[in-house]
Amino acid sequence: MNQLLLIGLFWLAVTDSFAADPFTTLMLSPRDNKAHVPAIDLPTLSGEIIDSKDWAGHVVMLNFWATWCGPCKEEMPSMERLYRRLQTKPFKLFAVTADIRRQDIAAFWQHWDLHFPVLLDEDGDFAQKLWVRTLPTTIVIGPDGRIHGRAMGPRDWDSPEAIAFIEQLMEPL
Amino acid sequence: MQTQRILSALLALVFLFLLNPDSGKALGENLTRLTPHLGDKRILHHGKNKTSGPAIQIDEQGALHLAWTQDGHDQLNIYYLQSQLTEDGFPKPIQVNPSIQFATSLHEPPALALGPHREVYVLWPAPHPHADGKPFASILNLSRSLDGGRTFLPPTRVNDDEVVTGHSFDHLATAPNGTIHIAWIDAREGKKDPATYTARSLDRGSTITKNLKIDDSTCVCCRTSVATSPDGTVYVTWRKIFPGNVRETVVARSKNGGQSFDPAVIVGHDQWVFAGCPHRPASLGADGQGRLYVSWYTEGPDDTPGVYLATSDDQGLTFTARTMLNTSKGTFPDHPQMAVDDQGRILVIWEEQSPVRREIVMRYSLDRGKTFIAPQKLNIKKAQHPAVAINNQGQAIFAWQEQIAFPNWSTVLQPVSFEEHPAHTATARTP
Repeated sequence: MNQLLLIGLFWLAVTDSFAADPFTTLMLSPRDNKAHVPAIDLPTLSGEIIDSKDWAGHVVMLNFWATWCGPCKEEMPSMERLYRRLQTKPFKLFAVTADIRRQDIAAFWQHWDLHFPVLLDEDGDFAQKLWVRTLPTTIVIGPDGRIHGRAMGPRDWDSPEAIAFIEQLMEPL
Repeated sequence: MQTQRILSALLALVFLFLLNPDSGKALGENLTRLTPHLGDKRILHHGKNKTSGPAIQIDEQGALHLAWTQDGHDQLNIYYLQSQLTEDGFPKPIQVNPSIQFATSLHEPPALALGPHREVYVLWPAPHPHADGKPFASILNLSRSLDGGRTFLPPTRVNDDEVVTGHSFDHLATAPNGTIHIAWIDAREGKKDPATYTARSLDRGSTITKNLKIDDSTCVCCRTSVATSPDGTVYVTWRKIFPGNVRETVVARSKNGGQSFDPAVIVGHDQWVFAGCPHRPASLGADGQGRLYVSWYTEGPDDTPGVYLATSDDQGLTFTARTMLNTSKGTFPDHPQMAVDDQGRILVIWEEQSPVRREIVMRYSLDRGKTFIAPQKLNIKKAQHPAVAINNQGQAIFAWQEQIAFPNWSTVLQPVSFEEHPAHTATARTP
């Protein structure tokens, strides 16, 4: 009986923490919450053009980073795991960089064994439109095309809290 | 009689007010007489080549020295040119790095300094020879020209370790006696957060002294900055990480010519909590009376970006309360750079950004930082990466990148003269 009670309490605690406010658990900035994301089309490292019109109905995560940004690499492995885990879901993950040397970006991707696509924002215009000031910055966009969270600094993106947050955004679909 | 006394007293007060340099009107008159004259802009086109922002210096003879990193497709090269301030056109740039050793990135320009005997020093990180694809692995090179910038000798390696890791975010300054003081961020100890290191050259860059760690817990992406004052004090600034991921701009000083440094002192007590890469260095300068000036970017506890100035009259032991230099609403300021001359004339240049604008603005002070003119916009098209330099002859130069011929970026140079002249309306002009 005591065991059942403990399990019940544990389950309540866990589900409660998952459902907790992501702005607190993931330390997301609410500053531009629900703002519309400007339309863009940017090339990937492989030359494909990504048009933000195709993002409708998806949760989109944009991770702004640079090859010279040490803290950026901290969260890359967790992003890769998140990307693999949600590959079959209406979820898109893009790394966005103002770096211009494609060979350096490719070497970085290979070194860290990363597979999610890189968008080349060579003049930093997309970052500027989204008020990205520091790296890494991650912006989570809901299926409605609006910003639902901004993380400045690295996070553990495949933590239960992060996955719960993203899956919660997918729920209306 | 009583009325006469009151009138006399009032007249005396008005007279004193006009004489007082602290009064707005007297200062205004002074500014009118000494308003810097913004000269014609000079534009260096780079074509389709991507470049870093500019590094500039101006020598006491009035020659400008310009260095930058440029993407040569196969590799990144460092270029240098020297030109008189108002000369037409530019001479052909010289490649600073040997072809077998190239630069690591375009996100910041090489560091550039001048020696007292027309030496030109260029400091730049190069890919580590044993990196084997490992990111963040670089060595630090010092290139020097001992013939007034006509040729550069093979680089001298600055870092004295063999660890395949980062040695970058570097800066340098020369002391009045010609000693070269170098600072950089160094990850050789393999800790989560790197350290701030310094070294010197006492022989015009031929050899480098043993590397000296001056502090731990350095914020990884904010470039160091070095300045020397006429009394020989050496100052180094960087962004330091304090418990709770608080990022503070700090200054450490050396009273023995860079042999050792006192503990770092917090400048602004900004309480900016951030766990990533601000990638925004502070800028240092000292005037002839020994006042130290620090300009820097921070966001503070409310994540609001600001560009600030603080000064120290006790050689970096304590600092004044910070003064915010940016005034605009709806844009955020970024990447301040500052230059100070012997007389305490201060030029500060920075970016102002909004989602659709990217401007370059400047402010100057002619009274050792007591008052500044209102910010003045310098660019026409989209612009970034500002730089500024000043000599002790009343000459200065602003530089930045501007998208003059979209989509290409050009380097724009705008001379400034502090020589006395009739009242002049300073207007940015394109050639």
